[in-house]
Amino acid sequence: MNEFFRTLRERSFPVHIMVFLAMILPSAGLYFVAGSGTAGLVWVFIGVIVIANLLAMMV
Amino acid sequence: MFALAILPIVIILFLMVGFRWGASRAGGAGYLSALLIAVVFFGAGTEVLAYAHAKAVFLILDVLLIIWTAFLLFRVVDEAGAIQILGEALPYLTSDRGMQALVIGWAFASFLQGVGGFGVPVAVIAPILGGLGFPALTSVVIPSLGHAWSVTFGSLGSSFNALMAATGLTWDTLVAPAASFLGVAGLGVGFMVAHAAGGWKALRRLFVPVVVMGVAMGVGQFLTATGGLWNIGGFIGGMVGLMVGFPLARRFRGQEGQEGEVAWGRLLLALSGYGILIILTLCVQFIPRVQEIFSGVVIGWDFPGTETALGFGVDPGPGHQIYILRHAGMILFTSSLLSYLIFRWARWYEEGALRRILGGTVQRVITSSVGVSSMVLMAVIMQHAGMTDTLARGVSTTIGQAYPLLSPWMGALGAFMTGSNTNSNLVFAALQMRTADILGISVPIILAAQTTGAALGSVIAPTKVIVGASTAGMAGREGEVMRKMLLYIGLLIALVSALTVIGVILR
Repeated sequence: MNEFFRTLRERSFPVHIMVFLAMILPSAGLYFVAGSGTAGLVWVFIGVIVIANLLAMMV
Repeated sequence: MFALAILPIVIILFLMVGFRWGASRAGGAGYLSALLIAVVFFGAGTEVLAYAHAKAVFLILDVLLIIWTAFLLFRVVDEAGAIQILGEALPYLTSDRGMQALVIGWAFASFLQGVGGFGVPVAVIAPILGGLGFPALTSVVIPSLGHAWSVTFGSLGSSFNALMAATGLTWDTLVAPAASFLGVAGLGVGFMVAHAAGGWKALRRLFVPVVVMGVAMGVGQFLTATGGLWNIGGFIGGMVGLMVGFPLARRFRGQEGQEGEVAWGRLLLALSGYGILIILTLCVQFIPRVQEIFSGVVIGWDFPGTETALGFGVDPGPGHQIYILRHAGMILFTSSLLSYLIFRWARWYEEGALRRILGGTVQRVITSSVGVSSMVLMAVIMQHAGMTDTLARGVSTTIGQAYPLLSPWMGALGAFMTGSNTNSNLVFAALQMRTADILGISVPIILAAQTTGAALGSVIAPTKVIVGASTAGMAGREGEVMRKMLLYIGLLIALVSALTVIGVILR
């Protein structure tokens, strides 16, 4: 586990770029998903954003 | 419910202060806790969450466009050595310690905050003052205090833009009280800088220069910002301070007299990037035909109304819209491009400059972009779930009509904890607006108190103090810097509290 955290911190720049995109793109996508009324897909998109924020906390 | 609603903010503050987490890490924790509380306790369903996230995207882009391009312009200018040229020219004007503190540590620091921000004023000026013979502690304290009043309209207006984004209010509603409060705080800052440089003796001796420069800078910023050019308000305020400070510095030259000459040609070329910014901003704001053409491209979505399971509703309507061609970020980007071409033509760049400019910019802004994104997402979820409303009702019931006294301290606390005026506005502005609404107090006055308190509080944030101390060789002695600054900043925030009460009574 410590190895995983160390790797993340060593690569903080690409990880931050990935985290940023994983927050913005699914958030924008949620506008269209909400309009289509598929609740399951909403949770998938929010799940991606949650993972991005978890990664942000680890870096 | 109040305790649950405030928990995400408490978590952010606790992690940043207690564990010294950066905004990007603490913001993630704030978002996750807000999401969980919104779903479990405030009845936010999939529709509420989906539209809250989508609305946040345009707020995030609006704030980040300015942060990205403001730093790009600063890197374009700095890579050419222009900031160094400015810093080297100023000490030649006077050998009077007090005037050096005022011109370099106050006016030039405000100018640098206007064009750059991001800790640049202290990082650039502390070593200059140290080189002029100021003690290390004073070298850090003077520029830290000196640029405080310029933070909201500095960094090309990114904090003021965040205030608008977080509240949904337009610039013309917010700008006059904010610029007034900051202007008065700026005058106070001048006295503090004089005192920090030479105690009460210097304060008495430099009373006139402080008043002249303070009024000139405050009025310069006020007129620029209220004239629609809020994104260059801090920059023009600092510029006016330098223009007024130069002749004053020659008058207060000191016993040793002037040493050396200022190379005006190089100085003007060094400033050319910011000259372009002024010209472009004026064209877009004041030439109707240009404004009309540039207003043609708008990005934004219409949103339906939403309602939580507990019955808290948000009305349908357009979300935050971005006029992309006349956005301050686009003007900054164009200025960066033209400045780069000028400095390249003048052969001020060394091999590989473009790579260093772009690489340095992306490297610097990406972490703050993650932090801003998390915090905006958290703030919008809290608004849509009714958490902000619950907080505002709790605060208004507990504090009541004494709220204006507390308002700037809340802004300062947010900035102290998160390290930034922008972050404080993103986290607290909606809450302050709603509380003022419930209490029937003027919203623009309370938001002016929020952003002025946040601007002042941001300069004593541990993250900024650590950076400032390290540039003056005081790493590990941050506590001394903070202790010295706490009284100055505390007095200034108390002044803003008094202004807020007066403002609320007059409105």
